[in-house]
Amino acid sequence: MTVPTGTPGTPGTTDGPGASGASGRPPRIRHNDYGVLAPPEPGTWRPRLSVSVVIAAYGHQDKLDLTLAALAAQSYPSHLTEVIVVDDGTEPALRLPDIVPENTVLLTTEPGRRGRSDARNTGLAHATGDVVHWLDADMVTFHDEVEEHMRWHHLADHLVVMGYVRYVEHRPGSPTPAEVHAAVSAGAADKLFDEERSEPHAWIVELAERTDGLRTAGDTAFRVHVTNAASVNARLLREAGPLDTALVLGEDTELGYRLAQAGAAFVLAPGARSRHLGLSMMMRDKERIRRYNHAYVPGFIPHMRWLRAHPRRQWPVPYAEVVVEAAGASYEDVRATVDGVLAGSLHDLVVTLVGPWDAAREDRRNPLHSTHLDLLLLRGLYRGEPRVRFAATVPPTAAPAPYRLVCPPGWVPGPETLRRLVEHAAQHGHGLVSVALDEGEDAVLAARLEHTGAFARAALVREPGEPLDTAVHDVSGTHWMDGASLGFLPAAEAEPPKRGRTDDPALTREMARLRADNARLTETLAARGGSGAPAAVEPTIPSPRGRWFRTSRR
Amino acid sequence: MAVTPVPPEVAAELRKGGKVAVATAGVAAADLDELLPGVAYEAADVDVMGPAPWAVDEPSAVAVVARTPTDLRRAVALGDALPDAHVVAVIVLESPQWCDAPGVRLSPGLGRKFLRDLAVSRHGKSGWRVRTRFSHPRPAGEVAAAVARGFGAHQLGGYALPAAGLAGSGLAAWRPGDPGARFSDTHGPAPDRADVPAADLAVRAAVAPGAAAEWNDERVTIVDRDADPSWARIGAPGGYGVLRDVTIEPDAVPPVDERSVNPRGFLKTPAKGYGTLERHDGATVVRLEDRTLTRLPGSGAVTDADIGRLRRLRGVRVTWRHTHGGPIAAARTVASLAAAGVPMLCDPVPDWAARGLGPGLTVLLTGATERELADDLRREEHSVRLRRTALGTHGTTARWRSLAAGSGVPLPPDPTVSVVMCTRRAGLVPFALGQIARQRGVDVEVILGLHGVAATAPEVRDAVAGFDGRVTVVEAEPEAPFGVVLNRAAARASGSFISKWDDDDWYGPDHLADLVLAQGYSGAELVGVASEFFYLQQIDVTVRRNWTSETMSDHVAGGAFIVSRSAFEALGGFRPVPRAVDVQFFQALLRAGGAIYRTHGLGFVARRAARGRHTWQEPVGYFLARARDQWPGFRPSGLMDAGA
Repeated sequence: MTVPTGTPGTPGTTDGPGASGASGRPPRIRHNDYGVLAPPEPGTWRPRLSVSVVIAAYGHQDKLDLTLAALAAQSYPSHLTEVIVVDDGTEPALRLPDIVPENTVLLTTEPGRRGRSDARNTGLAHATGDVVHWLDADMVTFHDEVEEHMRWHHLADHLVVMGYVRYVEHRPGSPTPAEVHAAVSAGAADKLFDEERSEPHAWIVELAERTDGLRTAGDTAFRVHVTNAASVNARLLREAGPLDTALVLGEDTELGYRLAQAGAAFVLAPGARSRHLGLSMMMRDKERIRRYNHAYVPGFIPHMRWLRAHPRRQWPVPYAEVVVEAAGASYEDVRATVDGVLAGSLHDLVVTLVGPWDAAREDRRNPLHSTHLDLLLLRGLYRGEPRVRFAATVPPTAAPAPYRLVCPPGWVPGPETLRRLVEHAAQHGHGLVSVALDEGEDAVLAARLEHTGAFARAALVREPGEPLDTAVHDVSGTHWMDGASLGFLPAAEAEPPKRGRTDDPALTREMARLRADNARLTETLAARGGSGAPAAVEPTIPSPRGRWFRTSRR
Repeated sequence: MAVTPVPPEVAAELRKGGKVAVATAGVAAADLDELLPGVAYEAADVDVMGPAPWAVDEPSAVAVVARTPTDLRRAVALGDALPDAHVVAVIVLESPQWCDAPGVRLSPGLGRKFLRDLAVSRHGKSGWRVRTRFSHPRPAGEVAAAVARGFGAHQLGGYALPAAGLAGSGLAAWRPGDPGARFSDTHGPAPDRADVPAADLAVRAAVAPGAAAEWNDERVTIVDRDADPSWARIGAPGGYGVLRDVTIEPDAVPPVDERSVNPRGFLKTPAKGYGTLERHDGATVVRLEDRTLTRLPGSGAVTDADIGRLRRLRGVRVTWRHTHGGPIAAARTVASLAAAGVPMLCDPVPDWAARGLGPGLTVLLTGATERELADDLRREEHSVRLRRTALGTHGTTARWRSLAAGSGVPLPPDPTVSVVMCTRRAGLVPFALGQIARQRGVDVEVILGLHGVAATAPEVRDAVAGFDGRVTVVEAEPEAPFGVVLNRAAARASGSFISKWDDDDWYGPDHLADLVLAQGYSGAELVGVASEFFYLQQIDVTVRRNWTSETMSDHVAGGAFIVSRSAFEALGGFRPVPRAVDVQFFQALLRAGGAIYRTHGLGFVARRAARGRHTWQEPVGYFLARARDQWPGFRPSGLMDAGA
């Protein structure tokens, strides 16, 4: 490590990645703050990337005709655009109308593999564009809708862009495809429908208002991956995708979540306007859909903490993966660590034990002299424990789990340790929390809590030779914490958790810590209330009301 | 303001035997009836009174009534003029939150032997009341001086030479808190003491236009100060010429009383937003939203209690239509806020104000942005720059040194600092001497203690030879305890202050100058920095701890303090022990009645290397658990940079 010895380096405090970046490097999006990106004005730039518009359709030939008519009038260059319509088994089959974009193909899903997700995945499999733009088959896009999406995608290769949809009343036969084509071409799509009576995508508007247009949305931004009008970088989509066909509803939200784990940032493009013909299913059936989704979706999206409040349940996708390197460590040390993890109040996790499990074979005649005896014991101990799995190497990513804790064997978290640690990371949006456990002459032994999405994005934006943690700091922030204060103990000092014991030493210790915390806070409060404290000397001239109030109480 | 009356027994004592002479400072005459119910008194205001203001011949008692400790200090400057009495009371109506009860230490050679009764009590919510009774009538000024001094930590209430004269009324603010100031009328002569004039240099109030500006004492150099032209005069037809004719320069502005209006009580994390310095209802005020936080004196004589009301603000926006006093009062107000480290945002400074403030302060005032001040660290950096510049330009000491220099009056030398740096590591000597070499604004000598290291070691020899300044090398055997080595080095020091220095820590270029400055306004025997910044070398992270700074304290950073050589010698130096010498010394000093002041910690970064190689024994997690902020890499404050 280089240690500064002369004049100090750059002084500073909260300089964002934009300020710290080397010149010429593309700006790095921190959390979901895409404000560092400056897209060119529509019509003033030269596009380079190709786009595949993927439309899953079932029935409603008339609406599809309008959708294609509008797409045929886009400002985005046609040689960079392909349109893939997937007929999800309509009878009679859908056909391509007269007014279609230049490069349009019509596919059909196979019987037995049908449904919205299958149809979209079929389209995705055929897509050749750099960007995939999901579109519903009942959408009339404005003339620059595709361009509005694409100007963002040219700035970063890990974006999900959501357009601005309004829902309009629609009577079959009006307007005609020719009218739509003419109006969109003329940039007058807003004259086609009764805009007064149209409605926005209400929850997205609310989310945008609350989060400065998603810029402060952090880990919740993924929700705007809605397949009626979102576009995604194709490489990112193939890495994270495709849509989970096991989900019949909420499948786009779930893919949005996985995109976030792959490093995606989510942009709201109010300029990418489109009109949805008729109300959405969500608007028609809000409560029943919510009921349905709340049963199916939270298991796959650990960030939905409020729907996963149960203290003991397990879910298909855990909130955290805890990686413990078993190779080279003693059975006792690994056991102490894993038992401590499994006994913690953060129950929503899995443990990955890493070691050469295939090489660990019992010597059946002389079992005590088996090679890798400690590994054998660990496998025996945790066989059948659903929250422990065995792996030969550390998986490249914790995805779909949003957090990974790498904990050195022999260090034992207390009952509340992991909950507090992950909560701290989530609250501050840290991409990496290093927990100092112990130190030698020149190195500090640390546990690492890694945010899956932040590490994925860092890997995407990192420059040759740049340490990954440095890129993580730019995109999400890195932070150090003290292991002792969090409740980590060396195995030699930690007692094994015991069932039903109210005098569980770990719990006793936790209570002592809380008592000490309480005492410290009380002391601080007392000091504030006493002499020399800000609270005690509010230096204002009392307002008449305050004075009257005080007098009247005397 | 609402005034709390003195308790009946005090009123009774004051009533006994005739009229009470009352000197007021910053208090409206109308408030006295409320304060002193049933007491017959004759009052004079120190800001307007002449040398013999009371008609009453032998007052039964003297009461000095000041709004704040800052106001009291103006009365001290005119202490000469206060009468003698058996009973002397000092009443301060309000004081800032950091102001503790005053000690009342009268000089043993003067009034203390006649003192028969002494009581110190809280007055109202934040004021203080001191009552003294003597066996013989004593000069009331002596009591006022002792009380004013008792609010601070200065052992001595006076200032370094030149001895000051105040010729004419309304000049008390030119030498606040100085019992040695001599008060005369505008013609002189300055009163004599043992056949020589009692002043070396006098400021004189503006005489009425047309009156002869004669001065009867050619032994005393006189500096004439113009009265502040009022805005009414400037605003009258043809009045703008007044602005041209009046000399407006920093030396024309009454100084900031640095011993009461200073950074003490600064809050790093303010709870409130921005106040505005403006005119409201005919007064200069600071308002927050639609409330008035404090009304400032029209003269610009901002007090410590006023500053106390502004401490919770993130900053103050300065508008330049804020004062009814005049351009000098306007500059004085802003200079006072700056000296107190109140972070200010500022409209472009008009020329008349820039002339009064001086170029350094003007540039700083307009340099800050709201975006910077939104960050607590940037805000504090801005505050430190303001205080340094304001105290160095407008403080009482600076003002009189400037006046004396301009008049050819001899001046004592500036205090000097002996840096005592002891090390066991020859390899760090070049680094450490480099840190000392970049100190500016102070006269420094280095005492290099080599603890088991030979002076002939090449790194040491070359670094010492290359050092541009005085270095004394002291060698000590490796087995000598650290405290012994330090004392041996300190014994060679010749400076007014001894500075303890660590061999591997980083020091900003103004580190020593800031400590000397803070010593000057706090009066503490020992002044050090808050131990805030640590560079955790093993993990390449800089953390900042959340210490209160600008406060009297019981400890400071061990490697970054100065102590007056006299206090150091009085206690015999450090304990002859291998470690914890700092803590031992702090305790000894406090128990002996000394004071420790902790100033800001932005100019110091402690290096925390691997355990076992450094005196810090706490594990790295100790610092992480106590960090309020952390940054990857070496990230000191902006004040560590020589360009700052």
